[in-house]
Amino acid sequence: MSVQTGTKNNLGKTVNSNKVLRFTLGERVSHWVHAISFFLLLFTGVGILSLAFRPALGIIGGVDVARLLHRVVAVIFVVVVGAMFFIGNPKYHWYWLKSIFHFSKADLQHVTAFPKEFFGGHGDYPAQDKFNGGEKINSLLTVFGTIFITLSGIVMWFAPAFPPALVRWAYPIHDLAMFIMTAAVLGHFYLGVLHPESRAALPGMLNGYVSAKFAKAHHAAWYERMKKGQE
Amino acid sequence: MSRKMVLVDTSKCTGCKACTVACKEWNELPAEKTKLVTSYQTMKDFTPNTWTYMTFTEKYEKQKMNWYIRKAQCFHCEEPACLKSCSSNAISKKDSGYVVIDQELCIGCGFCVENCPFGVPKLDKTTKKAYKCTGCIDRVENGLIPSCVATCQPGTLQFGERETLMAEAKKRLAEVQKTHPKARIYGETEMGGTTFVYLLLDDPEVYGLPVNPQTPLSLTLWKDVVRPVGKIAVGGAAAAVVVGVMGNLLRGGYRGKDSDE
Amino acid sequence: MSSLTPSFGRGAMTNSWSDLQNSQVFLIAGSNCAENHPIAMRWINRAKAKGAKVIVVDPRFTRTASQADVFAQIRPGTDIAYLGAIINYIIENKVYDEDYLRKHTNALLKINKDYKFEEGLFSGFDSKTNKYGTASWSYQLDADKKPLQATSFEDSDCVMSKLKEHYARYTFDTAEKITGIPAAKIKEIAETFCGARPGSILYALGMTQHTTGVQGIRAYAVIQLLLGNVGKAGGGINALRGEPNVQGSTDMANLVNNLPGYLPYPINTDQTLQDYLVRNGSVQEKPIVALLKAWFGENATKENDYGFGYIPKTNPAVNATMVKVFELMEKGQFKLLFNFGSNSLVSIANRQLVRSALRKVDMLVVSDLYEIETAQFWREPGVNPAEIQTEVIMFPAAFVYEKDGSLTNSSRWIQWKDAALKPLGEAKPDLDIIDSLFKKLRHLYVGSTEAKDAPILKARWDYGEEPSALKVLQELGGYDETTGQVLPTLASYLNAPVGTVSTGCWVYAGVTGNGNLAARRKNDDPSGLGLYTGWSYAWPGNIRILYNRASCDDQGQPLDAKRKLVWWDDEKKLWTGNDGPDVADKTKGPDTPQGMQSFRMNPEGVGRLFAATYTSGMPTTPPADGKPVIGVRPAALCVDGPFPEFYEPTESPTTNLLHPAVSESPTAIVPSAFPEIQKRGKPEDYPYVLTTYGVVEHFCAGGITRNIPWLNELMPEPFAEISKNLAQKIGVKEGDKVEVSSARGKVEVRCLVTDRLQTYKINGKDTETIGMPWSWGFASLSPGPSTNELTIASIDPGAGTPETKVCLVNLRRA
Repeated sequence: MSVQTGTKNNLGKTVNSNKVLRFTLGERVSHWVHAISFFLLLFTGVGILSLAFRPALGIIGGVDVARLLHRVVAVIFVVVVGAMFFIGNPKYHWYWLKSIFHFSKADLQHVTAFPKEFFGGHGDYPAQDKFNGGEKINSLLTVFGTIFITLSGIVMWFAPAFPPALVRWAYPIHDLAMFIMTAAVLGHFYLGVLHPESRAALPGMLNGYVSAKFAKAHHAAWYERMKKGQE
Repeated sequence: MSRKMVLVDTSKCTGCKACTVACKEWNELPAEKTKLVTSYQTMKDFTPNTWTYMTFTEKYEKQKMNWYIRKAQCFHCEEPACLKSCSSNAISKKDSGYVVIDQELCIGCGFCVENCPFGVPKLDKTTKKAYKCTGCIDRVENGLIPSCVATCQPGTLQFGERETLMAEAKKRLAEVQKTHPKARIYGETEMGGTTFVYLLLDDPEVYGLPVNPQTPLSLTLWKDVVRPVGKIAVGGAAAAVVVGVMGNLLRGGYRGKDSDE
Repeated sequence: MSSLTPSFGRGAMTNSWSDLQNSQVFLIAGSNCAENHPIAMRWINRAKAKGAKVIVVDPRFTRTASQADVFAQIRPGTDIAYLGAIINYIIENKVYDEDYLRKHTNALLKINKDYKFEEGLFSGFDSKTNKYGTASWSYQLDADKKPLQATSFEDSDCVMSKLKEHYARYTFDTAEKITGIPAAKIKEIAETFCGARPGSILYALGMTQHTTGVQGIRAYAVIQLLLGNVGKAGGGINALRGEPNVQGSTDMANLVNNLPGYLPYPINTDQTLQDYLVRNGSVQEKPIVALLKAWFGENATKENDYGFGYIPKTNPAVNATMVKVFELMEKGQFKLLFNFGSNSLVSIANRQLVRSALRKVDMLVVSDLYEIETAQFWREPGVNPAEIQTEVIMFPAAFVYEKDGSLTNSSRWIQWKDAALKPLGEAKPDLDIIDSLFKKLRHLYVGSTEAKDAPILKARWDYGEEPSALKVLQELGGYDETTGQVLPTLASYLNAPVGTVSTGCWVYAGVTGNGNLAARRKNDDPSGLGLYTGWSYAWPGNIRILYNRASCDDQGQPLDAKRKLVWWDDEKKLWTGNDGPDVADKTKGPDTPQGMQSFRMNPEGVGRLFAATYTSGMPTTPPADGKPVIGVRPAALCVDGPFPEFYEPTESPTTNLLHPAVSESPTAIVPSAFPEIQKRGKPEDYPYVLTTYGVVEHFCAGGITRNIPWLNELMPEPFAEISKNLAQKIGVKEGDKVEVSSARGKVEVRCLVTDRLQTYKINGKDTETIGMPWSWGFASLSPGPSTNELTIASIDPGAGTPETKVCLVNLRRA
């Protein structure tokens, strides 16, 4: 399938001399809505559940505001991102979803080799697709984290409507999901913003384009396919 | 203050409900709309405004009627699940054994409501705070006995030092078991030993009480496993990031790279 | 009251609340004290902790029954049948206290040979008036007009023989067929109650609200005298009186046939004090004169018969007891009704009569805290206010805690209290309302010389500008009329010459003597018997346990070493003890005739198994002045028989097994002046037995409590309790609405299906009892149907109490 014909967000050229379109507007909206709302949820949620953080809620007007905000943002967190799978041109969303569940040998090799790179060394791994193994893991954590945190959150929000036992389990699940997602987001933030090599991916999430050099170096399999006009 | 106890000797209870009224009066709680639930019981459950009520259970067997009447209120557990579930430090346990909710600190998350094995705390929809029996701590700390105990005429409720009253309870049990072989003390060991201790005439489930009340596994898992492990995980991730930044700095990863892009 | 006086001489609970802790066994029958006297359970539970057994007999398994060792479900209104079987058991097995019977009862006295009991009727029955002539219920008298005494219980004329003969018919099996209690259970009750002493019997309205109410309690008296349980700590017959000062109001002559202090009410043939004393004995001279002095002060002189003429007299042919008053009202007898502290429209049996009768008065004045149903009768649903001419005036009354005054509890303790709060709004204490009314009335009569107005103008009314409740109590406690000082003690009243002292209620004499004794609050109990003699003041003479002389042997020493009440101090030559000795003269030793008497208020000086016609001190020769003779003290009588006999209730599912021809009490009054209202149902149409009762959450007719949200949430609505069998039969489950109907009316309530009521067999036939609380009415914060829509207003001939506890009803799914 051709990228050129596949998206309105396409500026006409998938590949030019030095820039490659990696994320469509829809994907970027999803990512940032999800990211910003996650941090808001984390901020309010931790403030609600942890007394040590409680004073920080003073910025937004206290714990009661935080509880309200947590719910409002939770709706955005779920509904906006969820909606992006259905409105506009959602096929990239589905592509992403499909690809993260397709874990190849190359992905595995990336995951085992990447730690070295993470700490500033150089990892040896085969050419990666649009999403490398590490990104897939991050995505999987995000997907499952979101599902669990959402479902448990609904149970907690509407507790009287659910069996008490379920409500009781919702709390540890919500918390567990939060911890996993927080740990993941730390790594994600580091790689996207602080890591000298991989932060080159950041523009892809800002304006959609990454440098061809970066694409070649980090997502060679995908880049080659793109050059050939394939997906 | 030393460990206190309220003995609820159901063998003496006549179900006059005076304790319910005394509770509402002392704590200035409003009356609520009720209807007959079963037998002479008209209050179904605790509410933010009903901290104690009576349950009536009729059991007819072998041509003998037993009318089991129980005053229900917070047990004030030694190992309170509500306290464990509270993330706002709103629930605290006193030396006397009393477990109290500070509504100033309560954020109304309702998790204590979900975790109490006896279903005691209730969330007020308007004030968004959890409420339950205070054990009349305001009276007790000022040298009075709890309001319900003070009003009880048949001698069902007694207030005093835990050790003394527990001994008393055991003496009564021996007496009561002559006519009610299934009689037992409930609260001596349950939840680590509760402050309100019952002398029941029959099995706990007859009274609608859990046979073996426990802090829910989910709560223990959350507080004792998920929380610490989660903190370690997040801490670990943060540490990894710091180490990563340091590593890159040391290896000069940040130098001259930007211009390459 | 009407049964305890003929038995013991005083119409009051013999012991006290706090004395219940001394009992070894309780028979609680006709009282649901856990429900209606919750504080009783404090003392009963203390006795239980010491090993006492509790027997509860009730139509339902009640809150009280939940504390019982032995429970029996009885068909309402059949108590005398099983109590008779217990009496029979006691005599047959000789488990009575022979020494007690000989010394403290009339067991050995010989009965008139004309006395008979045949086919359900005692001798002397007049079938035209349905009343008994009581001449044959007398003793065989000696030349001194004193009863002849047999030497042995075997003497066929003596009371004990007659008692044995009378109750021989009451076997356990017969009792089972009548009451529905299995014979074995009755035997268990008999054995349990007779097997431990002292034993206490507790009753309340469950026993009295029957056409045979008086006789049921007489049966208790017979049992307690047989067992020697009267006059002893932990014994007695404890008539549990209600919180609203029931004992106090009875002391103050709440009953139509009394003046304050239980003086007989003068009747229209009592033209002079002399006539009154001929009927009632010289013993009444001092109290009635003291009463007249209290009421008319210096206007009561020897010359004007102490103002005896000022007191209105009643016509004994007119029954003016509570239900009958409304019948008279319906007939147009009254123009004005003052209704203080009563919610008749809810509380009176067959309330249709009340509803109708209230329309017949020109003016109705209701004094109450809330606008109770009685005050709003004109706007009861279904009533058209436009058709009602009665003018209704509401007085806002102060609540009990908003006024000073005394309340007399069941233990006869006169307990003073000060007002704790100011009355709300325009509310005033009853005393202020009555004081203001009287002063205005008297002002209107000023200057009148008409004889009929004299009582109002001559009355002593000196409670102050702002009336003082303490002054009222002082009037009751009495004054030395020669000095104007309050009477220091009961003795100062007893020792004063006639006409020199006044008391508004002679049994209260001395209550304000040395300070206000009613206000005493000394809480110590050195004897450990719960006498609390330093707490308030118990009438008479601060005696806590009546007839306590019976707790001593011939030497005047306590029979029960653990329960020492009183004793004769041989050194000081004085009766003394932990309690006030109930003797006529404390200096008269145990071997003197006066010092032997335990029941000094009875003319015989002993407890009466047989309620005989007798007056003590009758002169053997007629007086020289030719006037009628005056005896000392006439015995109080039961108008429906000297021995308790079982009769079926007015509405009964069966006929009397003992004497089918005389099934119901022949003297019971079954009102029928208004056949449209006063209907009577048949078992074919109304097959189930209804019994009614109160609930702990509401008080009496609920006038106050149904306006208190905190009580309404505890018991929000009336209900009908039915057995599981009956529920199945009519196809309802717990919480469904049912319609309960009687010949008089119908109500719709929720049903409460319970095992606490069981189907039982009456003479082989399955029978069902339905239970309904009666405390609701159409007004208040918690309105509900009134059960007295269903009840029948047939009346006990002695006490005038309606048979609210049993009638026939039908039941169907609503």
